Amino acid sequence: MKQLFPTGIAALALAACSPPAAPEILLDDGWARASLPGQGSAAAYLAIDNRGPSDDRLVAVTSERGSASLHRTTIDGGMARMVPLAEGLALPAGERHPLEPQRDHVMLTDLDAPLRAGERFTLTLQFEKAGAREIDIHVVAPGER
Amino acid sequence: MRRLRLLLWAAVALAAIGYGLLALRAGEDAPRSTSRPDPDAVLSIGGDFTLVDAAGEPFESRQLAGRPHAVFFGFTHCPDVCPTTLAQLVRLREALGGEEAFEILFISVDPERDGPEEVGRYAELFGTDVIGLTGSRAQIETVMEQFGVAAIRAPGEGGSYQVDHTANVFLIDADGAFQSTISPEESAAAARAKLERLIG
Repeated sequence: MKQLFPTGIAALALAACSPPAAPEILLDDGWARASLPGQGSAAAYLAIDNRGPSDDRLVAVTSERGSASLHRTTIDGGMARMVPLAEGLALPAGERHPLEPQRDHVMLTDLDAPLRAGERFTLTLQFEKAGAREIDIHVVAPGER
Repeated sequence: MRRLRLLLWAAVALAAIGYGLLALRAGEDAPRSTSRPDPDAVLSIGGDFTLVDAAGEPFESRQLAGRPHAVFFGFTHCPDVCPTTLAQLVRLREALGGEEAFEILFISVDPERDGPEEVGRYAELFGTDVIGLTGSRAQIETVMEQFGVAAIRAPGEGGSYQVDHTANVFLIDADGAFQSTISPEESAAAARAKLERLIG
């Protein structure tokens, strides 16, 4: 009991001094569909969770596999269009923004090689406040998801 | 009164400028193809067509007689909408009895880039029987018109382009009659119900 007390104080003091442990931006579920030789473009998907107390903005995406840019698919009267998100993507505090099929996605162009099912590659996302974050993209067979 | 007239003329001038800009932008998209659905043709979606299959051989729609089919128009360079739609069709078909349940047709609206080899390899990506079709520009436009499908080239960087296009899936029954469409905005459950009805 004698020993517990100072340890408890020390733990409290540590907790008070340390910066918030959880990252403010969480990235998960990064995936893409396999592509073909000569296809040149593919889409990558992931979820962005802004757990922080302040709004942030995704401003750029880069990939080791080719050019990457943010796009939004819009469907209007059955007509599908892709619009580049030139202003990036607003990420309100406390909200989760999935990049998912037929909505917002990362468009990969000039791929160095086709994306093959089973492989992984890295996307780097640049946030206005949170800085650069990396996410692993898992390539799946096109019929899988 | 004079002020009102001036205002109206100003509005006319603005509209004319706006129209001119739109026309200019449309001009930039050339070469492009549009085919607007003919309102009178809505009741006669589909019909007989001849295209080219993955082997480079003519493909007659009559070859599908007796088999219900789901027809999707797209292009192989399409990164998001096309693989998503085909993947959903493939998964639903697996749930509804597999390849025997109905045929899946992928028709390219981008025959300049998608030859028989391209549509064939693209169809194979899905690991199940998907019929990839292309054809001459004239053949493709005829089929697009039959289905009321539009496709407009959207230029990208470095001479590349995407194609904005109709993303509905057309369901044709075993007798070759149009039954319904699946819109990309519909849920998987709604799509499944329509496919169940298609295969009876």
